[in-house]
Amino acid sequence: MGFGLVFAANLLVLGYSVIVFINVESKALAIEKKWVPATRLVRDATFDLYDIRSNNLGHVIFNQPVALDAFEAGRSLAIQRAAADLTALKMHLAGTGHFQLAEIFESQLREFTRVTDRTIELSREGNKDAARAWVQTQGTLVYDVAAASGRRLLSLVDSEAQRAIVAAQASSGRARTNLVWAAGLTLVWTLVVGTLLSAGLSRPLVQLTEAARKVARGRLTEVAPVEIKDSDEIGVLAEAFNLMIGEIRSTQEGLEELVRKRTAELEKANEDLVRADKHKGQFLAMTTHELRTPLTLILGYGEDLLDGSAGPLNDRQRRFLEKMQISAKTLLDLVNELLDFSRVEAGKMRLAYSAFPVGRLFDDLKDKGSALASMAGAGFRAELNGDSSGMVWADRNRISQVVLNLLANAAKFTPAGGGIDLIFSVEPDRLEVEVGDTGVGIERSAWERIFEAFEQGPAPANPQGTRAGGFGLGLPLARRLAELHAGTLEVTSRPGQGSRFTLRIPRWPANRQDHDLDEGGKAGANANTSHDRRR
Amino acid sequence: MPMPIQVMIVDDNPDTLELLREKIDGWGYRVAASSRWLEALEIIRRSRPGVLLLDVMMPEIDGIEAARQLREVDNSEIPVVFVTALSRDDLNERAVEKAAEVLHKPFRNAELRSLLERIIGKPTGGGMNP
Repeated sequence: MGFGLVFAANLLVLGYSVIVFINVESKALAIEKKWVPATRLVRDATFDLYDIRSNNLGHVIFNQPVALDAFEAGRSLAIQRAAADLTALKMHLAGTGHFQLAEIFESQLREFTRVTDRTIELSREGNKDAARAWVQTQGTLVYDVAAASGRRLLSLVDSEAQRAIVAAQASSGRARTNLVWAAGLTLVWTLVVGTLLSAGLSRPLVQLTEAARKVARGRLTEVAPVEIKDSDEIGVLAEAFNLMIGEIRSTQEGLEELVRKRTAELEKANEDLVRADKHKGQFLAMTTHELRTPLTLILGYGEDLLDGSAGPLNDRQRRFLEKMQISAKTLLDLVNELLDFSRVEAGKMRLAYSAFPVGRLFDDLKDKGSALASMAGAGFRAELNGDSSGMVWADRNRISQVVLNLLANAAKFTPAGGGIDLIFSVEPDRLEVEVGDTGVGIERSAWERIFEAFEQGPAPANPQGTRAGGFGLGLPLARRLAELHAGTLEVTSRPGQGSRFTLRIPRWPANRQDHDLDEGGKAGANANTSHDRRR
Repeated sequence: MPMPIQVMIVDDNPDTLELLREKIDGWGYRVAASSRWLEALEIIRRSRPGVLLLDVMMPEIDGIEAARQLREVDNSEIPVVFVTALSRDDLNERAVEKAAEVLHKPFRNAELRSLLERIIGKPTGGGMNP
């Protein structure tokens, strides 16, 4: 019987396709079992490393015994987790090219743990300064090396996993195409035979054809087992068909299970990231809190000494004390700048928008600029072009902070007898604020560099010949605040003749209606409640 | 009977506590101070001061939580000023009650003085309270 042979060959092709399909899928599963957990383990170990360091830093910064215990407990927990993660990781990586890097990472992590042991020993002995110095020098060095290895290992293992997944998906796609083709071929053949044969023979074939058509259309769940009790070729065919449907179904369920597992893993990775992010924010808040507390005492007692409430001072004592107060305020400004900058970098800076008339901001800054200029012995000129009652929608304190920073810089770099100017221009769609000076100026090659954080280049000298101090965060922060307002901050300058900084911000966001701008009277009146009004 | 206490100060840092006490006492207000919340709570219940200056980050209890308990458990209406070294952004995440005043550390004498005068008026008598 010719058609029986062709049909048998056809079935063989179909069966072979099913087997290849199942085989490919189980291979994909095996690859996933190797690389995906390895990626997670490396990531966990790098988080552990970060936790060890955070807790160690905390131990050095804080003083309450309760906090110290918590930091130590947190650190040893992280060390235990790291050891467990790395042992498991090495098992996964055994026999691959990345095993050696995993071992290096493990030994570096162990080395860093030893450094933190020493730090805690020093800190417990009450030698906080030595502990801090130790963690800042040795600790940072070793941590950076280990963290770099962790990052490198993560990127290697992760790309390995990505490659494996892509390859598995590709071969799974090919196997699926083959399967569909084989099913389609069976369908066509069955149709041909169905029309050729008599009604008695064709009924079971019609049933089979219907089922095969559903398979070809991918409606696998609708296919009921084909019930043919005959023991002839058609019966055998039906039985094989039912077996095939069963296999395909269970493979598909395996695939769905795999997708569910992957989704759960991604969700967990996401949660980890959120947790790390929150940790970072808390660390930032605590550090600033601890730095501000001693400054409160220095500035607080200093003010009482200066206002005479602790008894009279002679001129020399007053002069010394004034210098101390100015330095303490500078230190406070630096702490605040550092916090603000870290906040922007961590994406945690929130602007407190309100509507206010330009004139009010101008008056405020004019007074402060004039005071700064007269302290520097420089002349001061301020002008406002356009409608001073025009409204702006912005974070008034932050914009004020940006312009004040520019004015303070101008005062710092302008020699006595020079001039500083402040020009506000109220344009229909934007506000421009220019701060110009006749100071030392900036080389063209440094125009962009001065806005970069922790720039290593030489700081320009101020007129007294001393280097401008600080972290160099004032201008980078100012530019970021301008950018958060969808604005810009730029400089033009000629060395020896002076500099001109220009801040441009839109008067309101493009999608904002004018009627929202009519409550300027209340602007900035209560910083606590105006905060977050918009979000 | 001793003169009633006008200002109650609570701060876990003894140095900050002393700074506030020295200043406010020096301006002529009658002051009580404690670095322990439970002790402070007793003084508040007994002496009903006119204003409470309350630190936020304390190891025993979060100042904002302490103020909430004072309102809910003691039904107290004492004005509260949170005196904190936290930034405005970090404080806001802690859901400070709307009516509360906040004084950020470091503060200037003029800020603290005008806050006290606004809430309890000029000092009525000073001296060296324990």
